[in-house]
Amino acid sequence: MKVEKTPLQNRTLKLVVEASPEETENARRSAVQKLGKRVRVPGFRPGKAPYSMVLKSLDPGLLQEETLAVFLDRYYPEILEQEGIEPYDVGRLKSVLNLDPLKVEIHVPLKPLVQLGDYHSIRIPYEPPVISEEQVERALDLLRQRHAILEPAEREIQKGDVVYIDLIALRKAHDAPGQVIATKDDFPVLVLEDREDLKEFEEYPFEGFSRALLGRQAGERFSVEHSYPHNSRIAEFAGMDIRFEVRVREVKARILPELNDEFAQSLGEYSSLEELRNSVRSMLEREALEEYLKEYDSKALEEVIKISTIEYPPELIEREREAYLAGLERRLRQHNLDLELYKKIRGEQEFEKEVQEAVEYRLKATLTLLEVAKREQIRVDPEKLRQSADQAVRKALEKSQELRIPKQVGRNIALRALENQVTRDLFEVVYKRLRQIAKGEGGTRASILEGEAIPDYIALAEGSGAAESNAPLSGDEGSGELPTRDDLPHSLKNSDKSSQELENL
Amino acid sequence: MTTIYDVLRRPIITEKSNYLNGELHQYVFEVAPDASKTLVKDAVELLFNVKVERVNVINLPAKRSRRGRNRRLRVRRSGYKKAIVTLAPGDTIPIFEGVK
Repeated sequence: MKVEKTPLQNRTLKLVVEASPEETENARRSAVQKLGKRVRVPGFRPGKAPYSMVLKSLDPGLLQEETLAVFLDRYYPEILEQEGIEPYDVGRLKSVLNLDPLKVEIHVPLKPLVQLGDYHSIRIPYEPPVISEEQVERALDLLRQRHAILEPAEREIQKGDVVYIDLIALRKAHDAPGQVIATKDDFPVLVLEDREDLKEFEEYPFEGFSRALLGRQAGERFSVEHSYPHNSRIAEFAGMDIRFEVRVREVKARILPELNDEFAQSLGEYSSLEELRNSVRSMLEREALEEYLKEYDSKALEEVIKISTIEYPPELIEREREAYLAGLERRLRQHNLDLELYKKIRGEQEFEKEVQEAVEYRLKATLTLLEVAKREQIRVDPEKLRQSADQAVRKALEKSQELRIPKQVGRNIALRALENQVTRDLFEVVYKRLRQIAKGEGGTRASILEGEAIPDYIALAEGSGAAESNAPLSGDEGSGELPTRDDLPHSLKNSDKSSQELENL
Repeated sequence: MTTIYDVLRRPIITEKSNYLNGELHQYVFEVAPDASKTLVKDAVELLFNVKVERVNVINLPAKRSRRGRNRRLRVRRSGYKKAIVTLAPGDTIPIFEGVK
């Protein structure tokens, strides 16, 4: 067998394999033997006919296909071992150059290559958001709005009231005048006040409808017209001219509670207004900080990606794309949409572009984070890892039992949940480290990790198991012992009941 | 009148004949209904240029079977005469050779 290796771009190795005539014949005989079991030759029981008889009655195309499959099954692992190639993913048969003897071209994806730039020199100004008094007041005001009491009012409608109406939507068209499109009975409408935070409020049946109610009284009837554009958010009225017949049923005034200790106490957990105010402030601060850190981290990561060289095989992009689309579909389903519809809304080209960009970024981000983890010799506290892994496994198991999923599938789901959890925990630590660096309080790697054992679980997080598993170890290896991919559930065996259950699956 | 060239009708290639061929050096033919062992022997020796040691002949009866999956229509498959020819060691008949 002759093998020619040519490295291509994008971490792909091109192999041209030429089999000897004997190897081709061997593969063909095995293929005939395999196919012969399914072929009926008159005078012979299935699978008992001799080679030459089966050969005559087989479809040549099918035979060639099977011969190729047998050949690759038998010799591909041998070739990889012989040539010392470590594939990152499944190799692809690109073309068949000759049939007898067999000559094929195979593309083997190699491990992604990440060359980090000098990321230690990245600096991003760290300015955590400050919560102003005004923001706290606005939040408290919202809280008041939410706890408003509705009381019937015998007066003209004013801003801030809640009005109950009966509404009939009639279509204005030449071909179907007066066709009833929708009716609503006892439908509550909030008459909007001129407040900043209500600008985004989506009114029904159209923006500014509540203005038409101002000054009217209970029992009054009136009609109002509106033309909807074709892309209106209310699908049932899109592209129509509608006349709404409205009857005001009831007017209710919203009475806001006063902002005092009593109000704070009515919310349950607080003894005084001051306490409520402090709690609201700290909650706002926490939320804003979380948001800011998210942004800051992704900025830091983006900077690292910018100064790094990242090469990966196209197969990886495809796999990532599948995962991304599956996630997108799941998210869309929550909004009662499907992928096809979403594609139509976004436009085919726009959608493709969006997916391509997102997938590339995700892949680069993952690879960069893993490389940083490796370089920085980052570790997750084994105890924390064990706990969160245990939790993830338990959750996955409960879910699979609830849905009555077969044991093997349930086990796979649990394993995947475990993998995801490990990756998440690891990335959390990597982000923290990047944040330290970007803030300029990084210090050196050695000073941070002195004396700590570095477990080799990056291969585990990478998931494929094909990852490099010789990350440098330092310090006392005994204390940092961490499970490998295969025996992780096993190592959790005695730690919790759920792990036990995983074992039982 | 059957001539020596009309005696052999076709070689019979089945799992069983294949076995006979491999283990006992015997070849199986369908032959004319009025062929005798001597005629078969002469025909095989003349046509394939081999030495025949022994000829066994069997008359297979006609069989009735159904046509397709139809339960009513029965068809009659005609019977035939089969000759099992044992050749001298070292002789072979090329038309059977591909079947190994």
